[in-house]
Amino acid sequence: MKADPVLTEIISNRLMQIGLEGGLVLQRCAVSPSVVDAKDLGFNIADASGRTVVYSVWMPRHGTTLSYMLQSCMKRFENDIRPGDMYLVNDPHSGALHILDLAVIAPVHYKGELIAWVGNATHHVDVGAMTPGRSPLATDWHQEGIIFKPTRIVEGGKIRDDIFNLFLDNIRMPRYQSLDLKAQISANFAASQKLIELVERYGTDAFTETVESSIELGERQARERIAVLEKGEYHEATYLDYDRLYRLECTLTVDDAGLHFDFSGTDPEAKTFINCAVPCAVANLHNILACQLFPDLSVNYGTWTQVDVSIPAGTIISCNPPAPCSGASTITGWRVQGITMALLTQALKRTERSKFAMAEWGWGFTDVQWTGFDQQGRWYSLRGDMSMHGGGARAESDGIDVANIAGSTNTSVPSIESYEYRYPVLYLERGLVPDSEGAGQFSGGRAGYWSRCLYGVDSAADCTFYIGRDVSSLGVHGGHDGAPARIALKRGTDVLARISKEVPLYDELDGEEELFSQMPPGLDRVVYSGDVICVRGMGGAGFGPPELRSEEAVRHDLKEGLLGAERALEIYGVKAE
Amino acid sequence: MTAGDQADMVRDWLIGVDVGGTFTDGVLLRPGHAPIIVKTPTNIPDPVAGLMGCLDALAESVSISKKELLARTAKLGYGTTQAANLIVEGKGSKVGFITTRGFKDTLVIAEIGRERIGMDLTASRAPSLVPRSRIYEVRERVDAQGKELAPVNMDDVKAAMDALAAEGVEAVGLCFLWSFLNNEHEVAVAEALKNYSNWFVSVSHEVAPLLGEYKRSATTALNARLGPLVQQHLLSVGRSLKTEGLDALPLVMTSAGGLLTMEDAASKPVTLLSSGPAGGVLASKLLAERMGLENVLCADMGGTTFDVSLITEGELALSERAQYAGQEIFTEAIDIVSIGAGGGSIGWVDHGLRLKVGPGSAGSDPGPACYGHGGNRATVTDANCELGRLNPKGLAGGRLHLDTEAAKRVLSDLGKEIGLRPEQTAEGIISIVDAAMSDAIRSQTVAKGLDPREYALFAYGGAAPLHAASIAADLGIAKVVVPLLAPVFSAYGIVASNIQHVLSRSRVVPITDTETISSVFSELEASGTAALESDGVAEPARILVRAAQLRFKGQMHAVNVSVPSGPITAESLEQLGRKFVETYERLFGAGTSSASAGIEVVTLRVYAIGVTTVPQIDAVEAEEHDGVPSGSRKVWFKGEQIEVPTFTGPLEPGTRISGPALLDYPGQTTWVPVNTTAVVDPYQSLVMTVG
Repeated sequence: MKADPVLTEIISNRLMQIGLEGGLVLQRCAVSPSVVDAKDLGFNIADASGRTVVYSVWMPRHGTTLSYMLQSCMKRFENDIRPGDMYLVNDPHSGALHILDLAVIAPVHYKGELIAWVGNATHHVDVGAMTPGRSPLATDWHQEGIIFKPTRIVEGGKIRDDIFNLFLDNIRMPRYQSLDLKAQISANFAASQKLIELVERYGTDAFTETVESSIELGERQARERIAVLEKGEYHEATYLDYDRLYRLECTLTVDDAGLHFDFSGTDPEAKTFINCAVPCAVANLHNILACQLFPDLSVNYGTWTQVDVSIPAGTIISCNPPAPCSGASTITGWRVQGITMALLTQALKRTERSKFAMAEWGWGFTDVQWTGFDQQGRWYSLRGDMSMHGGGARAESDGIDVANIAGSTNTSVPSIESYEYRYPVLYLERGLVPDSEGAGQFSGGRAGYWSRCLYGVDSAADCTFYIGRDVSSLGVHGGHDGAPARIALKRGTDVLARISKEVPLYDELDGEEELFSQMPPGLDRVVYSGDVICVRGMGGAGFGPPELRSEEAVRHDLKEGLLGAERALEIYGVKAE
Repeated sequence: MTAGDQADMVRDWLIGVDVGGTFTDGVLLRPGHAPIIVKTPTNIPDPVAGLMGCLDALAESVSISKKELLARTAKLGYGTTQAANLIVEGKGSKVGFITTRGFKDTLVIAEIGRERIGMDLTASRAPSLVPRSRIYEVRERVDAQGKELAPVNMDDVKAAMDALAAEGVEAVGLCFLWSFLNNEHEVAVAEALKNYSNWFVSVSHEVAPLLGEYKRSATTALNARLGPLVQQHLLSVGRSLKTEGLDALPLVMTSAGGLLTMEDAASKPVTLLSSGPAGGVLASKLLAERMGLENVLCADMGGTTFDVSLITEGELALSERAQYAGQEIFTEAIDIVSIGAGGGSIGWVDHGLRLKVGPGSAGSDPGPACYGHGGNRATVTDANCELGRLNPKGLAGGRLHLDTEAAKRVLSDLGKEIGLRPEQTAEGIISIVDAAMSDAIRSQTVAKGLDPREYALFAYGGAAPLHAASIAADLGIAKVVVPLLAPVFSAYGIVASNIQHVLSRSRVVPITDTETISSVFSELEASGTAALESDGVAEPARILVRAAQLRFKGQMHAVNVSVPSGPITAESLEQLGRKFVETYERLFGAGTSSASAGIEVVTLRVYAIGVTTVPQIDAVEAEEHDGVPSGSRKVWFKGEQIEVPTFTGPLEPGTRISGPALLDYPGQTTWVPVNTTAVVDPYQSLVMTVG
């Protein structure tokens, strides 16, 4: 019999709503800004066989990693999955995006039968590694924090204090993070309860029918969308720079069976933290598909049956323990996004959806980390302003100025005032960088930049790392590349002596400029009062030859101060008035 | 009526007018008489003429002239969507902006705000409220403690003003870093701007003295962009009403749920952005107070949206931020969540598998098929029509005749795709849209840790009374109230409100800082008192209410707590701290507070309220008695067609009706399902007991 088109719609909407409400409970009970403000979280619902039907109501990237982690839990506890259980996971090889993303996964039982799974993941600020947060100097994964392969943290509906405290004893911010982890558990309790009420009201058959038809719908919608792409084989290679240059390579085959991505040719795993495990790579690939190809479709298990990914073992995007990999999500993960986008762009270019073809977005991570004691003697750790990159040009429009990474749907930069209030720093400027975009018929978006100094304290420890200094975003179709990222420090300036008259800009200051290497030289770099750091993101790349850019658009950019007269003349042949 | 009569006439009539996108609602309240309600078409090109048309209709309903009507009016409250419409249409004045050197791109980058751009990679950020080329930098700097670092460079100011004049701007926005802590630099530059030209000047420490330079700048810039046009409109409304004989001071509704004089509102148009829906929530609050209800879910369903707002323990839900023009704006407003579900929402079939409703809407043009204006997609209203719930004699006061055949036709076409008959398709559409509205309420309550079962559901706006009982049953809500004035509830709420100035100031200090907290409150209260005085509010009618936004040090989010009047002392602040911890744990769960981190104040607020004449509605107690049907209609219910008695309103207090029944009032129909009883209460509201 055919499923009821009304009842399955009502139940399917209710399932989405339960996922949403699970996320709301998590946000309401958590305290860390990454959960509450950045909404860096995901909430999944899967059926008893582990097929995801509600795919990350919040951030798409977490939908895939939660699916992987669910499979790991089902495997590890195979014959021992009991009502009232919940499992804690952050092991990248068990599916976590990276070690800092903790997931809690729970089976849902109704009258003793396993009927469904719920799970959520969110970013924790610390997992007790050699340095707070990510570990840019790690040489093996045990330096990167405490590892949980699927571990029973809730038993018979009660938190296991021994496991819970094991986590708290190993991290730097136990007070905040204990509330965050409890919030994750509460969110699963709330969603499980609502799922049980749903099944009580409509019956298990109606629930099963809904899951089946949702997955069928996901599959059919994806298949139709993929059929729009031009069939064929596409190839891309791309690089990233850290302690050295690394290469990623991928071939996309579009045929009647769907999409097949093959990453053969990608460099073997690194000795530094830039690596990622397979789940992180696939999650980032899925994230771009969700944003570039399927933004208007319902995404679930059915969608991904049309997408196949193969990655040879032991590469920088499929590393094995004990290779370090805490940089994963924001380094190699984002490079996988870049190469996926480039491949899709090729397959979209000559289709009815060609407007979704685009040049590369600025990428990488400019992570400036200062730690120390403020005027009141309190310890602080200052990060943020992390990725002020320009967006890539699109086939029919310019890239977004200071857009951040493609597919990072939740990013924002905090206000200067909230930073100056919280931390002993003074900003000299924050803005966009004219001429940092890749030129083209449609130009890339400009990068952002900022400069600041210490204010009211004498020194701070610095553990800054970044990528994208020596490689940049790639133009498409004759569009130019964007300008790369750059972090530099002027030592011993007279900035503090000058501020009573006027606050100088970075470029107006004298002082010996030190161009930062991507990898920190060690754990002992210090910034002092009078030192000024200037951080610039990567410009987005251009789409199409600059000769085709309309004169009107060039004149607009000139007038708005986004394009210098020299480049206007040299690249576009337009003379400023 | 002779001239002599007019001279002795008592001015005790109250008028509320709410200008919506399609209709302008008017309500006239006269002591001892039933309220008069009218709906007239909104005149978008000439809003003053639209208002006058609505007043003409009110006057006509009581057979007098508009001049006579206004001469008897003690208070006129006006709600306008003009400011919101200007944003939707992308209109506004030519604006220039001045800010601290090094930060001209604050408005351009807009904190990146990717969540405002969305998941679609071809989407772009909303353009900067002021083009980059008209943003000028001035050398000056204040630090995070409010201490001046570098003075204002007046040469930079002069150069900026010359450039703005050359550009021909009509309004100027001004925002310096940290100006909410130390406004001296802004004051000096604002004075220079005012002396230089007759620009509309919008200054951040006046418009939004709050922490966060982007949101403060965006609010200031938007205020500048709307300023000249809104000012012109409001002042011309004021003048026209005076010319037409209104002796009372006309008042305009703000998003925060209070009234301001035309002059005050004209200087801060950002406070008017969601004044329409606020009226309905305020009217609900007043009615709830009369009925002795503490917790109310306000549900307003019109043609295109379903708006939900909460009243909890007698308090309105307020927010201090909202998105307009793709920007984050600081504006004190009643927190109203809107989803795209209304009478015009369109039903469609996804891949032959699923019946879906919305987000597409037939709007008012062509509107639902049954309106007979060429609509050819099945909407929620068509489904109600097919099921027999609508009054076939017409909607909108009989001016709209229902084309039931057209509704059946579109539903039949849609149903064929999934093998359902028209009435089955109609029942499907209604149950899907009802479930979506229940979910909208769930999101609102779950996000705040509240239980909808502890609330009464107030249903108003054209379509809500048809759906309210089913939504309540789904959520486990026992009581549904359909107010007598439901079709014009916002207009009623507008005239029933008081004057209210909201004065806020961010000042991030520990809660133990008695001196700062006390002096900021004194300052805000002095400004509030001065504002009420200039409105002509006599001293006994002035009320000052304090509130504070508090948080644990290190947190991003703050929680609103009311602050008692009286001197601020160490003891009173300690008590305030305890109250904050209590409120916090109620919102976020026991054990979630972190008192050891220390509590800090983020923003202090004073509501300066001027009590004005508000309508008195007398309770009419009456014995309960069964209502007498005026007829019946055939209604589809769970696949069967049943004969349902109909009742024609207004019904007298005490009337009791058992479901299934349909209650036809002018402008709306209420569906009373099986297992539900409706009683007309002493205020003539229909009170349904569900389940």
